[in-house]
Amino acid sequence: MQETTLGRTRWGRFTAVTGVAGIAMATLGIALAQGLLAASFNVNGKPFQIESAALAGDGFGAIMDNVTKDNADGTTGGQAVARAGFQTANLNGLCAAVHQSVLGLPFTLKIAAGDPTDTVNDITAQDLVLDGESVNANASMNGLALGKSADDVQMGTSTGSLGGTPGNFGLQSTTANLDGLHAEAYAATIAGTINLTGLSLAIESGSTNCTIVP
Amino acid sequence: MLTRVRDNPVLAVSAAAWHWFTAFRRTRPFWGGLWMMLGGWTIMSLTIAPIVVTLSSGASGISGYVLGGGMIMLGLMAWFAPSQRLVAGLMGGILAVAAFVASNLGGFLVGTLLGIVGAAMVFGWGPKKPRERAES
Repeated sequence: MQETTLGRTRWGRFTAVTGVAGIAMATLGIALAQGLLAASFNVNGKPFQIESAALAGDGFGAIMDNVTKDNADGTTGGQAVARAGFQTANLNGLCAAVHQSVLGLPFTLKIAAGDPTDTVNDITAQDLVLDGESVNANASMNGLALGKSADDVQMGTSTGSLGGTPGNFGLQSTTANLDGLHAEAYAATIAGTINLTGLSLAIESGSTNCTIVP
Repeated sequence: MLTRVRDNPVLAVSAAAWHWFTAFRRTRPFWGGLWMMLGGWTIMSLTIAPIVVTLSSGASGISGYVLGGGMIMLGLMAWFAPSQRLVAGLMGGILAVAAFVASNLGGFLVGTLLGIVGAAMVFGWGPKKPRERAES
């Protein structure tokens, strides 16, 4: 009976499959780094850090809301957040730091893309929504409507909604330019796509932070 | 030593459980399936959100469930239907690589790497001493 046969891993076959998968991943990674392929992000409940030297966005909407977050002790709790959404966002450099721990050892996964030292907005994201505990930036906006009910806030002409509670505070504007963006975020969704030119992924031990914004 | 194990009911039960677990591990691609399930969970756990949020964010919200959940299912398939290990291994590997593009760079790389290692181990698993089996 085959179901109860004693078995073992044949490392030759293992190597063949890992090799093919490794080549496929390397190809995809290069395509991502060159901006040929768009990555997709949807992170919820894990706190992380996002920084960018400058952000030029169209169709900006922001509301106050509540999200569920994972606490360090494994429980979940509510967290008041500012939810900011952009129909399109052009970023000058991007850095994201995710703090995680495996078996009690903290490590940081750092995703960097683009070049924050020049003035070129080299990253384009569609339908970007951030839930931030704190969002710091120097902002200038055009066509600003303050104090809309949160459920009415639209991101430009995008069909995506920010899903706000009626009566909560909301604002929207046709354009928004943010300089020196630093956000402590609990959730990020890019319902559209993001082009990550010059992508680099690094895993660092300990809890380290992004350094684009001084 | 043996008599003492038999006399103590707690030890006897745990020894029997360990014996069963050893047999369970050795007769199926246990470790590969486990890594695949852990990888799937890593990918899926990042995207867990209330269902309304998931649906409103469209394909990128769903892909974590489809790819991560699929990897967990294929890991279970490797455990409970070891004869299907080639299918489970290949599909698991494809899902793990697909998750790299479609879902948070594959659970921030960790899920994809666990998935690839697990899938390759599931694919590479086979009966011990195949020559002896062929003769019998």
